[in-house]
Amino acid sequence: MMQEAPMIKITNLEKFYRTEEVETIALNKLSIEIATGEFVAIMGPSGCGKSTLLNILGMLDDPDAGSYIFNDIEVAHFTERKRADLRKHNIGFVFQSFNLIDELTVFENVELPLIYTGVASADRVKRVEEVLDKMQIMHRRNHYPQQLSGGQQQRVAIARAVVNKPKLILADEPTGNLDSSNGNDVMELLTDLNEQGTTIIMVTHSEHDARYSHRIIRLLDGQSVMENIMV
Amino acid sequence: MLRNYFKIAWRSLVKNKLYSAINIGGLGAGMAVSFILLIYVYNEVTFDSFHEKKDRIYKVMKNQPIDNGIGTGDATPVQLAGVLQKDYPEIETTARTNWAYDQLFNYNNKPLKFNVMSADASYLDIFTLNFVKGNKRDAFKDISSVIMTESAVKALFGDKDPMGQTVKLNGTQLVKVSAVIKDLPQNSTFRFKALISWKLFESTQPWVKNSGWGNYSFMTYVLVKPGVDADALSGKIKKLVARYNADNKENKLFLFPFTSWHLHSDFKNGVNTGGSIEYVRLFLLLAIGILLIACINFMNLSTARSERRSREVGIRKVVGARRAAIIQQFLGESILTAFLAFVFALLLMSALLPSFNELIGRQLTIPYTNYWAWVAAIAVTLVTGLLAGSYPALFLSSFKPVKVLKGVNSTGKTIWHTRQILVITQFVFATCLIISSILIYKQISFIKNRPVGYLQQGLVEFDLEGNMIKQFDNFRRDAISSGAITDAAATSGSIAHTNGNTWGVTWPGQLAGEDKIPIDQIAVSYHFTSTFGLHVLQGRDFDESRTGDTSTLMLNEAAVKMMRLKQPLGQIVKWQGKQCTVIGVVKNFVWASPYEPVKPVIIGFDKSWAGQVGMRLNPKAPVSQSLAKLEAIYKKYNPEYPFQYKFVDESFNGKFQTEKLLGTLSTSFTILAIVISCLGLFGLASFAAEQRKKEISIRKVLGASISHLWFSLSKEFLQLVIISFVIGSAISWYYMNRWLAHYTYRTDVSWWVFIATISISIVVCMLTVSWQAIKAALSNPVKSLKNE
Repeated sequence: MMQEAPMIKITNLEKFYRTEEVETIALNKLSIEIATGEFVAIMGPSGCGKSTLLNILGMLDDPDAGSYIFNDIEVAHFTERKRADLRKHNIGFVFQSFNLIDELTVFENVELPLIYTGVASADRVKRVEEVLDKMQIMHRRNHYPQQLSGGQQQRVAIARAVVNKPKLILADEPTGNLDSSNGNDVMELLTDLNEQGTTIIMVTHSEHDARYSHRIIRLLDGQSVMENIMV
Repeated sequence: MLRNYFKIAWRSLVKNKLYSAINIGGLGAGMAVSFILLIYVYNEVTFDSFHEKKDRIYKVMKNQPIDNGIGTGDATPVQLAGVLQKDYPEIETTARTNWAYDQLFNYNNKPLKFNVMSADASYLDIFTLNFVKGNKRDAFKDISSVIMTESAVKALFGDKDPMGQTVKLNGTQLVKVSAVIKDLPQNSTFRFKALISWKLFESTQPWVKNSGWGNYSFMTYVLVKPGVDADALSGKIKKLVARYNADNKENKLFLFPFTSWHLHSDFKNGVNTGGSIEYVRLFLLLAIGILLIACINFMNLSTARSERRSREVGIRKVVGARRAAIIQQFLGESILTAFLAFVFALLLMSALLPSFNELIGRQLTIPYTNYWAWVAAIAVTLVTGLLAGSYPALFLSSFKPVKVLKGVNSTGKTIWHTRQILVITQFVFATCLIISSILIYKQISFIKNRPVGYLQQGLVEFDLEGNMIKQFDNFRRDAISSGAITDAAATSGSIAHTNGNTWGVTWPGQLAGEDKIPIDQIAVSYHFTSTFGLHVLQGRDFDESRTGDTSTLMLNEAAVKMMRLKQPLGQIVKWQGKQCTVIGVVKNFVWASPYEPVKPVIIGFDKSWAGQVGMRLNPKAPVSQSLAKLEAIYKKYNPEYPFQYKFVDESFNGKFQTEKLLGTLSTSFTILAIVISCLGLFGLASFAAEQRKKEISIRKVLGASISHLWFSLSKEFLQLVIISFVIGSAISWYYMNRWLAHYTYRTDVSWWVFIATISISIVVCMLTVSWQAIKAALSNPVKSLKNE
């Protein structure tokens, strides 16, 4: 089915959480492939390992065993620093609770990833304005996050996730804190991004949201139990 | 990127106004006090270093056997300078000076008193004086020349050109201004306002020239040639006295570096034991300690807020920040805060410095124009910022984004322990200061309650000078009949200070060598005991009606004891080369150090030594009225001189100046340390309240009472304070006992001091912590549980 090499290929991925007495398996020899340009939804009950998987895919966490190949590079045992470098150029994140910095304005929040990738100041202004315009929140550029509605905050968060033009967007229940109308807007935005070529992996509880994706991966106890291809 | 850091730092400061005020205020106050102390320390360690030849200047000192041991002093005979110059080729030049004292200048009927020193012309070659007018070569060419400082010239002549002006010195001698120098700097041992030549001094006081090898009344300074080994030279002059004056062959001379004099002038048994350097060390320690607790405070408050910043760190990491970038950001914030604190400290310093100057009796200034002072201050600020920010920076940057974004507390036990240790450090410091302050005041009040042996209240003294020397009896008669005083007596010096000592005293039953022991002396005329309120234990005072009393003397109890006289009255004691009959014994009176046992004193009769007048004010008349009457009578007999008097109890209180200063400083620092420590505790308490929010809510839902919650939050801090108290009291018990050991008369380290300290600490701690604890206990449990 796939001609070119997949963007993401994980094989026999394992992750454990240990406390003093118990060891919990979060991911149990999980193997998944995701192609460039796909829109994948990950579903499953609480504690099935969805968020752990997303964190590993986003290089925020490292696996205990197994392989993770991202764009032909094995990253499973990268140092934190190497992961950070790869991450900031390739991956954007969208969270359920938006995670904007309260002390920064809308503009400055969106600008942040560009600062860390070393984009020049004039270029930053241009790119931030471009993306704010696209997300239709240009008029709010000098506001602080608390002055915005939930839907607006999530738009800012998405703007921040895409400003660096990442190849991959990881969304962790992006509509979880929104009403249905704002939720639909966000899903439309993500679909647009996907249609423009960005790969999207989204963790969700909502069957409604999952229907926007090409494929649903269902997890249970750290293993993939079913894949639905959406038509 | 930098701009972004400062932007967020600034907004974060503005957003949390209370926190920022506490943080900047605490650090700023700590810095201000610390910097003032450092200015003081700098001023002390650079004392006398403005003399260009400072490394080659030495003071000649003398070791002499005393009652039990060796006494060291800087008084030398008048011939010494010439002999040193003649006998030792290593010496480039020598100069003599007397002890500077206030003398009367009169210009156009304007009388003013200035501190005057007499010195050889070579003094100008040894020491560095800044000549504004005239020059050092010609300044003492004419015997009746005077070199004056700018401020003295200004006071005496106003804007008139002072050069060549003639003024009357002490009502008789005409002198001409030959040069004007800049006022001596703040950190100079010499403090004179006018300098007259040694030749003039000798011509006005002929006894000086003939005072001989037995008279140690002058200071001798030596400038050695470059490259000379001063230690070796010091060894060579050791036995010089024996060669010229066999009678005093026990007196050994040595050279002492002039620049060390200010901080190292204490000698015990012939060995240098330091001096004010102790205070410099103490102040340096305090400066570092205060800056340290302010830093600790800063760290505590910053980490306490980490919970709130952890999410920000997580986000930054997710969008691509490396750990180094986060560290940079937080260090940037703490450096910014440190610089704001520095600005605040500068304002605070200029407000505090005048009071501090008054306290320590110095004229310290903030060295605004000193390039190096700025470099040093900015370096200290930078280091403070780095030090204070390093812990929060390293700690905050270590947060795992996955965890903090999920709200998992990554603030573990280690951070809690570290912060506990920081708080204990602060409170140990505070405990030590509280105990020290209490003990210093306890010691002062103990000494003040020591009986002085005479009636101090209502006793006034003034210098006997000018016409008053001849007119004293008339003055006394008029003053008594006016009702201003009840009695007056002329003495050789003030009763508030030791006048001087002599040796060569002999008495019946004296052991060999005892005639070499220096014994304190005061020379008086009539009415001495009645004026000063001394208790005559045996015999009587000198009596005007008995002509034979000119060859008599009185002793104090300590002298009788030292001389082992069973029947002192009628014994013959040789004093000042004269056979004198003991006619009275007075009760011991304190005139030297109030901390030491009273030493033997000879009260001799010699009118010609009179230099001071003591008066007993009439207790029935108002003091101001009596003083006004006395001034009028004084002016009648001595119109040339201003009537300047001193109350004996005030002069005596001057002896407690060092201890009082220590007490005041210690109290100020105690308060400061407590305030800063409380800020730290406040930070820790808010941190704990924040961290235990969930636990408190669950307890509350399960039915815990407010008082129960308050106790469960406060008890940990109580433990910290108690641990600090145990450590702090052990440290202060040790060093305060050592401090008290300096004094023969001393208070004890009572148990109540420790009870008081722990009580103060607990009360202060509970007041600080309870606010946070009660706030947390009263908060709505639903809110914090929902956030989970």
